[in-house]
Formats: sequence, C-alpha cells, structure tokens
Amino acid sequence: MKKNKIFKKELICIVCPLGCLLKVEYQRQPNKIIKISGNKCKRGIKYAEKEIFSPSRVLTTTVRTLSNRVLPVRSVNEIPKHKIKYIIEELSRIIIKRDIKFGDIISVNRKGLKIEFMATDNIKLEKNV
Amino acid sequence: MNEIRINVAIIGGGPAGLAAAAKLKKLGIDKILIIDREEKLGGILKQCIHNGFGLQYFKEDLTGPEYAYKFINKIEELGVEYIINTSVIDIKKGHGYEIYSINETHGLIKYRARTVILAMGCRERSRGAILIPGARCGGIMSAGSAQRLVNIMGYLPGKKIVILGSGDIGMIMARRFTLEGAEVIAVLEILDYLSGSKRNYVQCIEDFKIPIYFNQTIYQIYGHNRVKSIDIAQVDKNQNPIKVLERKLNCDTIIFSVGLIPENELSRSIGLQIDPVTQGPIVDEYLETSIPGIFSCGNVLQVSDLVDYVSKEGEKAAEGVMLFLNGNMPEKHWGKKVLAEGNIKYVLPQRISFWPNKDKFVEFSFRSKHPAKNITIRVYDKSKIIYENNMTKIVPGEMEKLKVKKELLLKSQGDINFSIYEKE
Repeated sequence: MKKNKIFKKELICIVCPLGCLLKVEYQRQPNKIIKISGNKCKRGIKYAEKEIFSPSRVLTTTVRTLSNRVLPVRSVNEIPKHKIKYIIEELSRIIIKRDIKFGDIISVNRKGLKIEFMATDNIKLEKNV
Repeated sequence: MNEIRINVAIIGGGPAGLAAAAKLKKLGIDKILIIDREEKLGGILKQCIHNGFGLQYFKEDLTGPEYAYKFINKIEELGVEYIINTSVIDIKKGHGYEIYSINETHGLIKYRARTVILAMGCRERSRGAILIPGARCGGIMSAGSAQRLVNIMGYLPGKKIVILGSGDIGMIMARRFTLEGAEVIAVLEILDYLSGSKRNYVQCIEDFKIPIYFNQTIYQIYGHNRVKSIDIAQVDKNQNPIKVLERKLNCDTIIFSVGLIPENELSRSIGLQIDPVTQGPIVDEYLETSIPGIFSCGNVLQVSDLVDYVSKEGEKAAEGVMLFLNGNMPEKHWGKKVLAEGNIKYVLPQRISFWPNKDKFVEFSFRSKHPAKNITIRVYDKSKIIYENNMTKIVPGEMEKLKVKKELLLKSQGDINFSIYEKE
C-alpha cells in the first residue's frame, strides 16, 4: 500500500524571475511526477522533477587570494543541495597563489568528489606579495 | 583649460551606460566617452557575484561579473573609449554641454559634449531615512556595503546578523553570510509581504532555513562600541511598533536592506525635472529628460528588478541620442503627459513626444502601490479607454511592462491615465 502513495507538494519555480507556483503530485519508488500544474513553460516540469528528487543549485562564492581582493567563482555544474556545506568548507581552505583570468577553472578534489569552479573575474597578484 | 569635444558623454559605466555605449557605436555614432568613478567598469554588477542575471537578455544564467564582462568585451571590441577613476562633478549648459570631471592624474578635465546620457545608478536607503532609533555604534551597515565587504574585499562584517528588510539584496546577503560562516538570526520585514522576489526567497531564505518575520521591525538598538542587542516589535496597520509585543534579540551586526534611491545630485544641479515618486528624471519615450539632449537610463531613472531591463533601457536611450544627433527631434517636445492613478505607483515614461520613427509601440513600465489580484490595467484619456490588459496579480516588488500602440496614443485627447481595476 505504501508504495503507491501519492505525495502532493507546492513549489515556487526558480528557473526564471516569473516564479510560477507549481502544484505537483508525485510518487516515490520509482520516483515519478504524476501531475503538474501552474507552470507557464516546460522548464517548470524539469525543475519540479529535479527539485523533488535531487535538489541542486549553482553555487556562487569567493575564494581567497594573495592579493587584497577575493576572487568570485561559480560552480560549473549544479551541486546537490546536501553537499553545499561540505564543498564550501573545502573551498575555504584554498588560497589562490597565481594570476587568474576570467574563465579559469579552480577545482575542489577530495574523497573522490571533484567539483569545478569557474573564475568570474581577473586577479593580478601584486609583486612582492 | 583645454576642452575635449565629444558627441556623447555617458556618465556611469554600469550596465546601463555600457549597453548605451555599445548600442550607440553599432548605430554608427562615434566620439563616445564613458566616464566612471571606480577602478573598473561594470558598476554594481562587480559585487553581485550570485547567478540569475541575463536570463532575458542573453537567455543564459549568468553571475553579475559575467554579465558585466560580456558588455565590457563588447565595448572593447567596438573600440568605445572610456575613462575610469574619474568623477563628474558638474554639468553646465553652454554650447552643447560642458562636463567637468576630476581624477588623480589629470586633475580637472573639461569635456564638451553634444549629448549626455545619465547612467549613474542608485544608492541605498539608509537607517536615518527610515528613522530607526538607538545607539550609533559599530556593526550597522547597508546590505550593499556588506556585499562589497564580503564579495570584493573578503571581510565578514559580523557573526550574529540581523537583516532589516526583505529586499533582494537583503535575502541574497543572508545566503552569503550563511555560506561564509556567519549566523543570520533573523530577517525582519515591516510589511506583510516579501519586498523582494519569490525566487530569491526560495533559494536564499528557504534553502538555508533562515528565520524571516513579517510585520516586524527594529524598535531600539543597544551597544557601545559594537551592536549588542536590539528590540524588535510587531507593528500595527500604520507600521507603528506595538510596544507590548516587543522582544530582545542578541546580535552583533544589523544590515539594512530597505530600498534603493536613484542618485540624481548631478541631474538636479543641471536643473532637470525630477519625478517625486520614482525620484528619477521625468522622461519621454526615448528617455529624453526635460532638457533636450540629456537622456537618462538605468537605475538613475527608475530602480529596476532585473539588470536585463536596465540594459534594454540603455539601448533605448542610445536610439534617442542617435535620433537627436541626426536632427530628428520632435518639433513639439514633450507632447503628452502620462499620469498614474489609483493603485498605480508610477508610470514611465511620464511624457510622450511622438518621436518620428518606425516604432509601432510605446513601452511603459509601472509598479503598483500594494498587491492586488485579478485586475485590469486600464489606459484611458478623458473620453475613452485606449487599451486594457488583464492580469492575475500585481505586486509592488515586481515591475510590470505594457506595450501600447502608438497610433492609439496619438489619437487620444489630453493626458493619458493609467489605472488598476480590481474585479470581484
């Protein structure tokens, strides 16, 4: 009986600034969306599926450098929500010791987990630092 | 003093100024100069390191610096000139416009420009502006200042943080503080609804389980050198604190995210007419201000929710400048008034001059005073309804756009009114 239980959930779609209110009915084991309403475009369906079964986010943050500025970065891919805290802690251990150009990749490698971040600014280290 | 002659002076190298410059160059206008007071172009985008920019304009999900980078690349490719670390201190009307600016290397520089685009952006409303009483100690700052400290300088302003106001920057900073290891103990909103977007509520507040309280405000701030605690109180309908419902919160930092105000000191000094509601210049459909040849775009004109709108506005002003330089300015400058009525807070443009061009539509942007559901936006003159549009909802936090046929507006008599009708 438990297997066929239908769950109901209301979500606000965050794909674009419209912020549609999605009404979703879904099943677990196997994970399946049964019914969805309120979405103004197809991206809403994809978002609901992802948000319910494996929520993830693009992570934007900064990394320390040897200059007097920090380097803004974004994750190249979306990161599972439950791993964000762990990854941000790993990232806080990194200090950039070279010049960075926009688009350069900085990766976090730990315990078989590899997350790539892209630099979204140029950083030039001052001489004698 | 030598003077440098140019066609267009763009004051401010943020998203509006950059978009205007790129568009002007593409339209074949040369001798354009962007003047910016910071060390890098890009304006506020430089410190908005989060994603969500450019979904409309580029159909891509970009961070602030990435969005700026695209435009900076564009103007570098097109060969638009710019000068940084330079502040414009005065604009005077003379033969064209005299622009006085200063920087460290050249001292005073005088430009003589045929047209000016004002793109100076906005500033944050301060604690003083909303009259929050209490100690004037360390640890109190605006959300934008905190954003600069965290995202550019790499400093965390505090450990236990309270944010007043649920604006977008406030919510985004709540997430940033949490990610950087501080504890956001409360976000307080005096209204009974969110002033920022729902999208930011989901990914900043809900995702990180940050407590948010509505109808509440800061009643008193305590502390000597540094904030120690605050009293917060429930407010009544008139937004006055109810003293009985007061409680204490211990915190070391208070962040204000209570709205943005266009920065129009320069505009006022030239004598432009300012709209008391938008606090930006009054403009027509090509964003020309009350002084012919001076245009305005971006957050200095009206505070937008999306940078995409700002870029579009910059391009609109560029088109206006081109028409002006080609001598296509309408004979009857500033023909019709556009007025906001009822639940409409403001409408922009506030004037229509009917510039001679091929455009079939005039695009209006507007905001409501308070939230409403199942409404009709009605555009009318003194005798008839010109245009109607149904909407399921409207909230003050989201700017709405409406396109109306130019020929309908041309035929109208007298002023044009905008109003909201609520259906039962």
